[in-house]
Amino acid sequence: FAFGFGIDRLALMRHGVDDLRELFTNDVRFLRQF
Amino acid sequence: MKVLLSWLREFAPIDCSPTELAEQLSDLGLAVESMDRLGADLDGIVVAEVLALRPHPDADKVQLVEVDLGDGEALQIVCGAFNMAVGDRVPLATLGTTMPNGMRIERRKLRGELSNGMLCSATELGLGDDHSGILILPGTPSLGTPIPEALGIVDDVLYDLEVNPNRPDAMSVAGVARDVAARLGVPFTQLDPQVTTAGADLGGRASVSIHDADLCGRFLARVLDGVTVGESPAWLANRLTLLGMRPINSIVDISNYVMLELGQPNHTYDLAKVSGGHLGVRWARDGERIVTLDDVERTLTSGDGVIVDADDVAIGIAGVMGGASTEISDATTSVLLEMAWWQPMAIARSSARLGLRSEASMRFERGADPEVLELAARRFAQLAAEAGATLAPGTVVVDGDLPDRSPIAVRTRRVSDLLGSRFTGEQIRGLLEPIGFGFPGPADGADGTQQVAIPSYRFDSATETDVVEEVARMHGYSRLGSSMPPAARFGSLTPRQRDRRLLREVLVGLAVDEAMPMPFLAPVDLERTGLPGEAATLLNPLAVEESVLRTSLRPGLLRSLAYNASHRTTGVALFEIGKGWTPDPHGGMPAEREVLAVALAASAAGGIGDDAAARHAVRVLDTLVEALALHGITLEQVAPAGLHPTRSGDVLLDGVAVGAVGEVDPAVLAEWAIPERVAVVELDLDALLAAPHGERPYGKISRYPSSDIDLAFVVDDTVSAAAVEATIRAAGGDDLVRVALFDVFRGAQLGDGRRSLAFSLRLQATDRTLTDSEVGELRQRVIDAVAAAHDATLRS
Repeated sequence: FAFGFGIDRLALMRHGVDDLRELFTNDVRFLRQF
Repeated sequence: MKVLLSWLREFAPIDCSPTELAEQLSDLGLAVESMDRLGADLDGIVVAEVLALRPHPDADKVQLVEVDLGDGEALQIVCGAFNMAVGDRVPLATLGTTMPNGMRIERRKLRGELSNGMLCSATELGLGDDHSGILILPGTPSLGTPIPEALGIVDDVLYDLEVNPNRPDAMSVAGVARDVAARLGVPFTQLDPQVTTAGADLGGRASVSIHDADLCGRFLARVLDGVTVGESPAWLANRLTLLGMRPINSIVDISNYVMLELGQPNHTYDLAKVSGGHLGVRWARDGERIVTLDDVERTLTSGDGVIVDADDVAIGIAGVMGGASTEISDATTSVLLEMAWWQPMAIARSSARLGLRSEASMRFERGADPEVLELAARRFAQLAAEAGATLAPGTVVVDGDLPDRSPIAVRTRRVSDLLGSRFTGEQIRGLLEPIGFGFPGPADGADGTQQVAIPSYRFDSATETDVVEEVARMHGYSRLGSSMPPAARFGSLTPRQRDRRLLREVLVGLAVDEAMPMPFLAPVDLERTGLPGEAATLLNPLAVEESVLRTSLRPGLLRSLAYNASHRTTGVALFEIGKGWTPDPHGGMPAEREVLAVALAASAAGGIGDDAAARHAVRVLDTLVEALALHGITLEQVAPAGLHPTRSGDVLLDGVAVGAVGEVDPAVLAEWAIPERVAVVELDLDALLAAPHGERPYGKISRYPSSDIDLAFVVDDTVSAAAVEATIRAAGGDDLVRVALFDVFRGAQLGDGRRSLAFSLRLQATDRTLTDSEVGELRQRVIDAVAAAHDATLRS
């Protein structure tokens, strides 16, 4: 979901992730980092 | 509101530094907007003696003046004045001085002659209007003395205060002084002007009547005779100017001076022009007209107050502006002085409607002090006496409706509660008495309340809360200290939240990663996953690929696995805790369930064999159930939709289906282009976690040796191992502490549709060693039970 400033973007900022889609693609190489 | 330090000092011995005073003023709520040191802008101007005077060779409007400022050197100044004589002491602005008007003094050549400074007139020094010539200094001040010192200009400071509308008392020098004195701990002394009266009593010459008591609370009148209207003395005119008012004539100036000093606006009438010497107070009639002091004719309404003469003709707009007909002029000899208290709202309305805001109306609007009228009248007379006027004996005072100023009850506890700091009754008294609050009763009276009498000049202060505010203000807001608000309740995780965390930790511990696929599916996704296609759809999806509300978490996880596989990552294990929505057949809102879904790729499972993934899934399920300490979980071998026909089953909780476990149907995997076997675990958390769980009663461990036996049963394929195991447990009783299936054998010798299930059993009692006969007996019991229940034969 993308309504305004959500908790997802906070998570992005917190961890320095640059692409929001990474959170939903579920590539194991991404998931394993958390 | 501007105030002068020297004026404040006439009320209280203030001896802190001007900067510190500014801090205290601001802390008291009278914010200092600016602070000007007076006499400071006369830096560089010193006393000099005229040594010689010479005419300018090339100009007759100026002359050359030789002066000595005390260093023995004769300085030549070109000067346009001719009023000084040799030996006079005059103010000299030295080179580099910046004059009060901003002009910089530089060495100049005027018509060929050098000028090394400037001799000053009184005006140029900012001291009065005299610019007829150079200021000749009286006496013989030492050469080189700075002018402010030589002239006795006290190092004064002008403060510009921002006074909030709720501080009517602070609109006067006396009021500010009172506050400051209380804060600095020095005594405040109100004026007590001594005046003598002379001449005819005012009775018979002046009278007052209030027709509308709701307009005027109190009206005081006095008469001054022998008045000569002229110019005010310099010191008075200076103070008025500094405080922002223009000097007009001696009488009007005194009126303004008293207003600024004591906060009591007042009005003066030429007594001779007041018909009948009578002042009546009433509301105006609609349409009534008056020409005010500024020579403007104004039309009034019944909402405006007027002062009328004996002929009932309006001669003044109450509290706002006087009329032109009775204005003080040079010819005035007797003055009728009005000091009154007006209803604040009435003045506010009139002033706004007529567009007439004055220093007087501003003070009346906020609520002036009805008790200061008599004192203010005496002060007026005292100042006027210095100009030769005499005060007639007698005072007329008429009262209307005054505000109720009975003491109010203040609870000491309330003060402490509101301010968050402990105050005792004594402390409250100590803070408020210096600013005039009275304490008629004992300190900390019955049930911790005190009677507080609010001073008449604090119209703003009327309730207990106002008193609390004054306590805070006088104590110092910045000194109150801060503390965190205590929380009455604290938060904690709900049981469901704790369960979720537990599930997540267990799964991560099993090397399963948490995934978060989109909850919206494409219309074909459910079908591709082998699940029923009915689902709630979105009316306004962003894309058709995200237009269906998922009924199961499986498609999302499979898509993730497919994605990873397409990027050459296999052996992926993922889980998700999320919501699934089952559509309502009647078109209502879908039913929302929280579900845990786990997807395990075969190579993540480890182990060999086609059923490695499925067995891994069952192990994961067992671990989760164990972690939750959930009882009553059984598996039933059916083929849930989308799962492998033989390696899958329903998860039952006390016989009710709450989930599924097993390998995914290969056809589905092919649809998703996932190149390896995948097994899933799916659990309806709403159902699962509703059951009692988490309790782990202690099970005593036996110290006695166990007997281990193996039993193999041949049963039909239709009989599940779980069922056999259940029978074994039931038959074994408490002494059967462990049952495990360790082998499944199929062979021609068993016959078609039959297989052998081999179980290892551990028999152990907690209080004794089981005897051989007891073990034998138990063994037989189990065999008989299984044979009977499942048409099983024991395989030796």
